[in-house]
Amino acid sequence: MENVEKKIIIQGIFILAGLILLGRLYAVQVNDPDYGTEAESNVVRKVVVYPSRGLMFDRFGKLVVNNEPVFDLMVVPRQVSNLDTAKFCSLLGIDQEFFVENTRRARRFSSYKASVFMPQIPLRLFTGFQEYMYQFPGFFPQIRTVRNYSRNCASHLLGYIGEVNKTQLDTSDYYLMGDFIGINGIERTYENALRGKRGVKFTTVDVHNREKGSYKDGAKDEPAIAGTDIQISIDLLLQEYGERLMQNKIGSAVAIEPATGEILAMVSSPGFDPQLLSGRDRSRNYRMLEINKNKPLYNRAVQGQYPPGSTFKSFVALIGMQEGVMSKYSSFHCGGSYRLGSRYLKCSHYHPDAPNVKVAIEQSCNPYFWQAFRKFIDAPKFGGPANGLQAFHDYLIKFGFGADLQVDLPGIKKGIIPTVDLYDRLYKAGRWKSSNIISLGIGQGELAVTPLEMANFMAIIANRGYYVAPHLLKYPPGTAPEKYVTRHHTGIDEVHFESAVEGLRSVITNGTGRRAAIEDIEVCGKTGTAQNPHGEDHSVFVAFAPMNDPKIAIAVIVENGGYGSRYGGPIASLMIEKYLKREIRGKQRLALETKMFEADLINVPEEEEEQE
Amino acid sequence: MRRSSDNVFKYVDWWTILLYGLLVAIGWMAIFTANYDGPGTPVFDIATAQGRQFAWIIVCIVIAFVIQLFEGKFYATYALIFYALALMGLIVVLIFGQVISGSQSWIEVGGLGKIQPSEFAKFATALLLAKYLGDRGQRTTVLKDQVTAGLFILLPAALILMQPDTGSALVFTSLILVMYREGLSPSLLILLIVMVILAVAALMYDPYEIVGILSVIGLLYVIVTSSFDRYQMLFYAIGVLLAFMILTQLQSIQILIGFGILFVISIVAFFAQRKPFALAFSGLFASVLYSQTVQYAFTKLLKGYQQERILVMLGQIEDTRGIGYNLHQSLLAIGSGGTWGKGFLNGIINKGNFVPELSTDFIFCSIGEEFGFMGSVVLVSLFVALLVRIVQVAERQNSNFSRIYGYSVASILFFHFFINLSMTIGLAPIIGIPLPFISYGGSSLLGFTILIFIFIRLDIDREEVIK
Repeated sequence: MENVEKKIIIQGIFILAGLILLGRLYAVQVNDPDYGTEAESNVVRKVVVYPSRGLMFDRFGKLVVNNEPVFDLMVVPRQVSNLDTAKFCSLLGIDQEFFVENTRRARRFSSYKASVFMPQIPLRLFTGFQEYMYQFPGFFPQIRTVRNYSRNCASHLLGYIGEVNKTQLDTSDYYLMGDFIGINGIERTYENALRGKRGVKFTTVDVHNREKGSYKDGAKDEPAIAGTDIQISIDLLLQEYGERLMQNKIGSAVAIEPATGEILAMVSSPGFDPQLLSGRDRSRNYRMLEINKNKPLYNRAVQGQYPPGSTFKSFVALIGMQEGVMSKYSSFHCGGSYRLGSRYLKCSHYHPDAPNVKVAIEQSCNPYFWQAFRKFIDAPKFGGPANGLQAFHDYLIKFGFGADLQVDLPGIKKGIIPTVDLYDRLYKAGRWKSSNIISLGIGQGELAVTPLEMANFMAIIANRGYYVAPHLLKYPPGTAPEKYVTRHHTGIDEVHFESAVEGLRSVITNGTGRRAAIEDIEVCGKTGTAQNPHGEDHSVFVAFAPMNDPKIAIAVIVENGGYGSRYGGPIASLMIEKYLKREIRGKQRLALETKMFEADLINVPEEEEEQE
Repeated sequence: MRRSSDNVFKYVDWWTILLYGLLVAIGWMAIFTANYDGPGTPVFDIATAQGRQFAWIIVCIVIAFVIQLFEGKFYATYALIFYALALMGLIVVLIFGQVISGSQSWIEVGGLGKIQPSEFAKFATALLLAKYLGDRGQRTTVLKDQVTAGLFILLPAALILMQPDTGSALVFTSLILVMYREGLSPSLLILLIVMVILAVAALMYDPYEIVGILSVIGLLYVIVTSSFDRYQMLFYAIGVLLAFMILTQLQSIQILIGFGILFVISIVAFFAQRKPFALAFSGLFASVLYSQTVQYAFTKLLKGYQQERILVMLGQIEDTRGIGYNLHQSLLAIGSGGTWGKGFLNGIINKGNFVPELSTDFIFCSIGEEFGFMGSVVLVSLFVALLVRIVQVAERQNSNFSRIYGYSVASILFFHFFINLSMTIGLAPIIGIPLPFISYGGSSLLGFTILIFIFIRLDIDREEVIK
């Protein structure tokens, strides 16, 4: 009967399937030497082989960050026997309480599975312990590396590494519990290149905790692949020097190589010792830095926003000339003050009327730039202040202010720049005029930019019209990605830059920046005093040098430092000299250097109290 | 006919219950050893996996008894209600369910813990299938009934696929065995097998190779079945050429035109009474279209990890740390058991946390490692014996309903058993379905218990005609 046949076919399928499974199981369990029975006394131990992280070198090949080995002491509680607790503790320098607590924790995790008993034991402590390792069955080391820094500097831009967190574990298919990952700075941006690839090693261990060799001749092992070494664009000498000059001051200094956009130094003060965030005390140290009232973790170079003050004036002149509202020979009356309606706005000092752009920049004449700014905003070609301001805003973006500069650092902030929208909200649309927003003309008002943006602005003037996105990696020739090669043109004709450059040069020779002059280097620069409603004004200085073959563009901000010429100018000029000559020459210059080193704008005794 | 005064126990199929009991006991031991943590490991502590599983076993015994309190008719009468409730559960889980490892398959039930509705959809679907096909006698040969029954099966499968839980959804395909028993043409079963083989080939081999091989098969078929006919050969050659041209011009419009031409030629040949030629031609046409669809579906519809799992299983990717890690560790554990195993509680790999999902989908690892090949033989034999026994019992039923339900039980258990073991030893992709009675998990154990014990109840009434 047909149905009987079907029944037999179906039962046959079941039996056949069972036989197929058994056939495969026979092959795997009995016939395959690959999966032979392990001797009962042997234990296969799986050890993760952590790759050594890529090193970092500075632009001249000097070592900046390397690795140092530390040891995680692992334990498999079930394998622990005849433990001489006293000896064990004294070798590791731990007390009984630590031992009991950590043993309990490991046991809670599992008696069979390995877990970390004591993390990140430094090499010198571990070597003493290793000799006696054979007496402590159940314990074994797992090597890994932590970061080691050749110099106490550059902590903000280098960033730091730490164990992956829950979110990172969930969202990535590479990381496993206990892996290190770049958390901030270059360590984070270039994590994929630096981290390498984790490996795994299976070893056979006998009951006496002796490694008997690799399991199956290493057939199941996977070697770790070391991370890629990278060269950063920083000049370590300059970086360290900048940080020394900025010590005991709050502020920032950023230096860029104009032609390439490579960042030569990025100082944020106060800083901290990068070593604090490496190794087993990282969390504790981080919390300590976090509560410090001077916020050392905050990278002011890319996160601080300051009004540029007078350093902004050459921008106003450049866009005015480009749009034809003025020429390099334009003169605006000063007379010590500028009448705006019934008010008189003062110039910073008394001086003859500036006959041209060059002298106006040299003398940093406020009325000159107020008028130039108003002429720009009210230019008939724009047909109204809203369109004028829109044009102004567009130029700001082209100069990189408040724009996405594509810097290879996490946590970058853009400058705050004025929009038509903002004033429409403040004054209602159509109800405001150039006179309402006049402070923009001298870099005050609704304008705050980052030190990096200021340095980039100097790079634009040094390049006479364009910038390359600032970045921290020094690529071998020809390998830089498109975004770090592209020239971003500002739309200002090159001719206009010459009068700006002349002005900036005579600031150093005849104007407010005389303290920044360096013998046989033609420095161009501009002082600025950023108004600070909360206290003493910020001292600002921007510069580039040499004038005709620019190698360095720099911006310095010292919070509450007063006039730009007081701290900003000297620090910028010393950094330029250090970078170009590699040392400071002359008695006068060395005296200036000492003065800067010693200047202390942070109240010292109170500060120490806070830190404790 | 059984009278109500008769001793119910006389009619109970003790063989099935014995096999069920043995498997559940082995399962609990396997879970215990997988979670064993040295002497003093709690045995019945509800905070541990083994303790919770023990509690679920008690629950299952109680439910198994409760199921016996109703008459067999009850399950036939309310089949549609069970089915509707199961569908509701599947819809509710899609809306309110918890997402665990990527699938929204769980509902938190106050106090009871988490419930997986898909486990209960299986017996509900089996009941409805039995009711529907049973009422129609042997009319499963009718296309309309086949399609309707197919829809009853596909509806819960589609809902489960949305969670997405591909493994549990695929379980429903096993019911094709039941359809076969009830009159579905065996050629459909064969077609299914061919389609699986072709799908696997489509992923492993170059499309040119597949079309090449298929063309040769078609050619041989034409030569063997028809006397040598020049025109047919010529046409066939043109067809093969076309198939290759389509493949080299993988742009949609050419494919469309190419397939159109192939299709028209097959139709013309069919009406011109050139049957072997038409068959070979349309077969080639369908196969090419099908393997292209499989490749398209594979790259476009499956998620990256699913693609990788399948490729690892097919040996297309060698990867012992990433996706292949589960399988590699599983094979290491099972293989290290050898012939006799390492002994109960002595498995090292299954305790070393090397095998992920050990207590659930990979529970067989702890059995394979500790009891070796001998243990495997016992376990596989128990399963096969249970399956054969269920079919045997199904065939002695007086009513279509009970028989069809019995076959459904056997098919579902068979799919779980065969695919779960296959994936732990690298014969099937890791789709994550539990090993019945053995794997850790209350919903799964309870679902299979209900599945079997409804059948036990139906069997007690085997002399009646249940509708």
